[in-house]
Amino acid sequence: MRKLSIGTAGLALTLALGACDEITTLQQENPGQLSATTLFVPGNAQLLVNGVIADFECAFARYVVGSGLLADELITAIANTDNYDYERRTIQTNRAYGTGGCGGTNQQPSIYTTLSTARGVADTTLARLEEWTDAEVNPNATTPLRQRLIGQTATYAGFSLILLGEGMCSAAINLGPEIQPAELFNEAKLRFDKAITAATTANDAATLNLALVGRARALQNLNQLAAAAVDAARVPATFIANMTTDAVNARRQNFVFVHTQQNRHSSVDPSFRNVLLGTTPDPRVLTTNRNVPGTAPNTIIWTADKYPALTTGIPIAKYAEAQLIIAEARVAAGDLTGAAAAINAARNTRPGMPAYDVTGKTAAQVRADIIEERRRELFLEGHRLGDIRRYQLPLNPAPGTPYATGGGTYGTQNCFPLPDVERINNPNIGS
Amino acid sequence: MIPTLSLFARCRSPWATRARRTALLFAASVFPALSLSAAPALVRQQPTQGGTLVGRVTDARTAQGVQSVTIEVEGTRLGAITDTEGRYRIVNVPAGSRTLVARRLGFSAVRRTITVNAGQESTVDLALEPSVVALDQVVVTGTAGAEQRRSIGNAVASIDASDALQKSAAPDIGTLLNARAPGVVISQPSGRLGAGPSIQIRGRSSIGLGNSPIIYIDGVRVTNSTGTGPSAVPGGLAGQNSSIAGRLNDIIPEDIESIEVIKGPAASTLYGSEASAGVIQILTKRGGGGSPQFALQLQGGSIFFRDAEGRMPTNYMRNTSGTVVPWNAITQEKDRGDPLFETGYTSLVNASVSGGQNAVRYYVSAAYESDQGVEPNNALRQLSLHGNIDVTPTPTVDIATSLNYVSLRNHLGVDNGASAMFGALFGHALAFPNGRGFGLNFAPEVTQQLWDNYQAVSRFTASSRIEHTPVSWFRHRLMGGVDYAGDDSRALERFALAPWNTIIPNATGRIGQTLRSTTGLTLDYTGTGTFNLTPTLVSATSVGGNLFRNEQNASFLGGIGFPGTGIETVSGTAQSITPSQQDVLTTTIGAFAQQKFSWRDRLFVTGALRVDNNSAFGEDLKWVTYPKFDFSWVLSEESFWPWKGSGVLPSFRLRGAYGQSGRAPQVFSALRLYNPVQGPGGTNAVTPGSIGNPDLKPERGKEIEVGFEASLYDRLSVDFTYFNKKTEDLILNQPVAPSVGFGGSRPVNLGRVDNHGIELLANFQALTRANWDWDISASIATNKDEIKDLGGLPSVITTFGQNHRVGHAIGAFYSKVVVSADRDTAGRAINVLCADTAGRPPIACAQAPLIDVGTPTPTLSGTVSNTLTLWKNLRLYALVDFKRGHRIFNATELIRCMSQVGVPLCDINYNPRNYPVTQVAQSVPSALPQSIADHYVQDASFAKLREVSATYTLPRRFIPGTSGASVTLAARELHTWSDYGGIDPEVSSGGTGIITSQEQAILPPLSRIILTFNVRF
Repeated sequence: MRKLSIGTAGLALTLALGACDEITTLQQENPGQLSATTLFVPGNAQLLVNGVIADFECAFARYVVGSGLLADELITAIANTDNYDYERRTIQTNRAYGTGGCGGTNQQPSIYTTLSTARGVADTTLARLEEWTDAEVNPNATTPLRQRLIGQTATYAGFSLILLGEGMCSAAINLGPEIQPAELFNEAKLRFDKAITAATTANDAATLNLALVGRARALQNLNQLAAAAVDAARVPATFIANMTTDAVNARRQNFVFVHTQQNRHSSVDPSFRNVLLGTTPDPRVLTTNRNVPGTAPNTIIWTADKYPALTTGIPIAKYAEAQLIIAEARVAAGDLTGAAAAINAARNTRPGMPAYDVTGKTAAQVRADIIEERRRELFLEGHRLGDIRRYQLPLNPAPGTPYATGGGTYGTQNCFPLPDVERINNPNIGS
Repeated sequence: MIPTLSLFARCRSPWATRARRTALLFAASVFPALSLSAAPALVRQQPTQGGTLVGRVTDARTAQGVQSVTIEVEGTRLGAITDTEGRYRIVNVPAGSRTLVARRLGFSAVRRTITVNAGQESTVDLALEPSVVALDQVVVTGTAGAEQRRSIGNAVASIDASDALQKSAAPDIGTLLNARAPGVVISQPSGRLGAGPSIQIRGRSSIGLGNSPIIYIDGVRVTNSTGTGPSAVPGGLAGQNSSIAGRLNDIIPEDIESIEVIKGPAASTLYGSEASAGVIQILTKRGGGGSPQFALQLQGGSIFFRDAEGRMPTNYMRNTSGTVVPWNAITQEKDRGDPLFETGYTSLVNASVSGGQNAVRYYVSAAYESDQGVEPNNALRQLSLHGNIDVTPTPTVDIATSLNYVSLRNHLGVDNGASAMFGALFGHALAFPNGRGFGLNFAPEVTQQLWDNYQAVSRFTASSRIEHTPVSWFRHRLMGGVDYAGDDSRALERFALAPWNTIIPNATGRIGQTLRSTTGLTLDYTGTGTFNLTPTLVSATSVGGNLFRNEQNASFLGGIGFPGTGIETVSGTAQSITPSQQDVLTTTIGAFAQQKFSWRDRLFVTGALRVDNNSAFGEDLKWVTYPKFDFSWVLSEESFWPWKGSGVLPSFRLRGAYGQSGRAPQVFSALRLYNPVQGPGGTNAVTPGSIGNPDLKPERGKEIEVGFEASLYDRLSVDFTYFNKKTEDLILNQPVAPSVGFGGSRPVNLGRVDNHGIELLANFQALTRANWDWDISASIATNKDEIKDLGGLPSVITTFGQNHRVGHAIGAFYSKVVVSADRDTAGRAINVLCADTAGRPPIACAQAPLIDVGTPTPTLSGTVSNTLTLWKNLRLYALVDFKRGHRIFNATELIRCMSQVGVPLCDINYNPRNYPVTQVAQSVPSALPQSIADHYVQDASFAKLREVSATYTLPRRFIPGTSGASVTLAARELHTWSDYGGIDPEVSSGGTGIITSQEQAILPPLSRIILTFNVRF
């Protein structure tokens, strides 16, 4: 009997191990990350929506800088060819604007992957929220949490699509075909439609106002100004929605401050320095000469006073923007006086601003003034590149002008081209 | 009832915690050890009813005792291993007629049938004849019990570690392995102490995963991580860290008995999904029984940078008056009386005792090593404790326990910019006057005193194995073991005082600390039933299952800014950095069945199937299967063998094998994962991490190998192998289209790589006389790897560097190739033309394509060694090894000549007419941005006089009271033959474990002269 005891024990051990799933489990454990299979459950709805907002805010902050460089709000101050390309409007399709994420220093601001990620996360979360029931998402609450979350998620999905439409020459959604900005704005409008319905149901005024400005911006881009003005008019005078920030977390810092003042990678464009309103500095575009050089030749760091710290929020949407949309719609309808009222409503969001006087001005002049008002009011808020495209403004400096800082001449790009990473790896887009 | 079983009865309880799981792992691993606790009782209960066998095993040529000979009583679990004098003792041998078998590497097996009488002691002395073809040698195969080499259809390289170590004075396992098995290529990331080797067998066959074999010590799978070390806190000088350490070298070679190398899928099928890069089995020394045998080894020697003055380049620069001024850091510092690289030392004390009584045998050793490198911030202190206990409680049960503990304290020196080597290579007195000319003004006392990369390692490896032969036709084995490696690694930049605080930005110092542990659990069960189907046909059926579970935990913390000198802890810093933590768990479970038929003990046919699952596989993938088939035919034992008895070709074996095995994906690569991030208002949030691939499979290696072993006139042995391997389902990272909502890339099974080559090992007994023996050993191995498929992934190569392209080698170098140029009046290159695609005339370099200029993988490697034994007491030995056919990026020369530190430092920049104009064209700053750098991808072929030694076995009368003593004088790394333009072509910042092959300011392999004294009592 004893002769077989150890062998028997061995076999018994083997059988025991076979039954012991703590040692033999093939389930991967990674306490540092969450698996999709366990993440997308109703109990995580709020966590998921926090992620939707976090991804959008990170993408948005980088878009503000990247689009500001490609437009005429910022200039490159770091001696790096890839950075020069942003300002020179000679971006190549295999560069970091297309592939970069939210991590790292984002010396070259990422655009396409960050916005696509924000859009993708929001749409995925939105689909799940729509599948789940109110009881599943919040069994104990009396308030309609799920509708509030749907409203928020759809709103940020819409804004991601807006920025893709304004900043990208073309884009794609969920490995679909290459689509043009108008289609992106239509997609954005669909998200805002959902958001407005859900936020109304949830009685969530903050989200509702954000979605209203968002839909107005989508309609404005679609040149449906009258409809845009209807949404814009519903926004109260006190409304402003800033991206939230944090002093330490790099994803949540004010990226304009990071890129200009902290890292000296860029500087305010000369066209935004010492801007006057009448005879005094325009409070919307105050800038400061930091008297420190960038590494790029002959560059001095100028910063925007509106972003004095890492924790200063960047407006995503606000009442003044809504009023300027109304003004634009009124001009298009021939109501110049009404347009002036809207411009003044926007100006009156700041104390001490002089009134806009429309006397003697033509519709074209007022329209031009609105564009200038937008340039100043929405300075470094992620609008300028879209405005240049929508209003077909002349590029400044003109294409062909020598680029003294980094060599070569200014190009003709007024949008970020569809990057190689999408074109090559999306089976529905031909090369 | 074995007590451990009760531990498992609660396995499924819901209150599982990590702590309990760890306890469970430990319990599972030491189960056999717990069983061992019952062993003495079993031993005591065992009546002494058999006889005792004692004797001495000697070398038939020299009459010297041979240690580590395995003696077995056939048909039982009884046996012994000879001690240092060749003596053995086996007790409780059942009375009757018994057959003793003695085996040892390098000798023919000896069988002796004797009659054992109960209660009596019999003396059986055996003499072993050296063997040129070791068909009867036993090797580890993955089944229960070892198998004779003659029955295995694939090549297995066996290394007699104790013999190799005495000849070579190898300081670690990496150097011990080097040049001892054809096809096995060892590469060091640096010559500094503490550098761990990368191992590559039969070339590269994977692009995205590693090419390192898996390693077992006494049956326990152990961590073989390379490229580890302290991680620095970013900022300041961007982290002067050191990532050269490797865990393989934790085990000191003095404890190793033998090493077996299984080279590829044809042989490694039974090892499953992580074995396609090969398997290395390390077997440690075991006790032989009998009275205690003490052995003491004292070793001391010097470590030095051979011919630093001649090998380190001289830099040039023009002074303000236009004169070209030479500058050589080595000469300058030598003239100052403070040599840049000092002569270091090595010292080792190793003591062991082995023996045993009745059914218990033991081997216990302790070693302490203290080495100092050629720089003050490079040193090594290592304490090793090793104990092996073998118990044979009954004639049918054998229990073997192995325990290894290592405590290592290592100062690794500095890898990157701030090393003395860097400053010497990229400096000039005119350019960096504040640092005596050293690059970036970092005088060596700054780099060597301010930066310390420290690593403290505790390593514990333990295993227990029970082998049981309940009936004559069946034997089985249960094995469990753990391998724990914990390290505390610190990258320290000390607080800098004046004047260095004016040179170094943010000079208040910083520290990064990595706390890391790796725990591997191996459980293995195999059983083999052997049946005589007919008098000539034997069937052996094996089944088995095993589990390997590896848990890695790592935390990183650090801080910036010490208040003053002397404070060097994280808690002493003014600003802490955000800490990070990583936990990784991987599990592999497999089972196999194997059927072997042997006919007349000379024709063997084997078929096997392994099924495997691994936690890194995609969730949509279940089990994978790997088949194998092999045959072995000892033709020389057939009656029709024409040279039978003639002595011309007395031994000849033909073998062939086909097999598959895998290479598991990287952990978590199959999963779609989200990372925790901070959300609005500081809330918790998640963001997409990696998109994953639920269909991800392991890479699958399929290999055919055929070969033969033959002896000619009993003087020359030849072992030849041809292999052809296809690695399919290659895992490549395909970038993700961002519109899907994820960034980065996803791993996909897309590609294929083919390898083929030959391996030839020959041993020649050139001279055998009464007082003269001359043995020559030579080996050669070839390998060619070619990417056959990349799954359509684009491989557009736009810049100089290493890349992967179909039809070319893995990681081949691509550069524009300058073919012609004119000279201007100053001798500089103008009108530079580069090669176009084949068949076309040269074109302007701006339009020229990037061309494959060579592979980083050696295509030919080999070794030649000579051993001359005089008067049986004096042994002289030398070994030369070589590698050819590969290239390395000489980044050092490129940086110096292309003015990448701001000034041109090469002679070519000042005397261009002395150099080929095509090289001159590549010595201007504008060349590299145009991807013109083919000159710097240089032939890395080399041959080295690697090992030379003389061993004198002292007559016993010299040291009365001892049973033997010897003294060895050895030298390593004595000379290099190479056309390489840099310091040494063998070290690479990437090693062979990864694709990168680049030499930039790396300390070359250091030379050693070592005196070793061995004495046995």
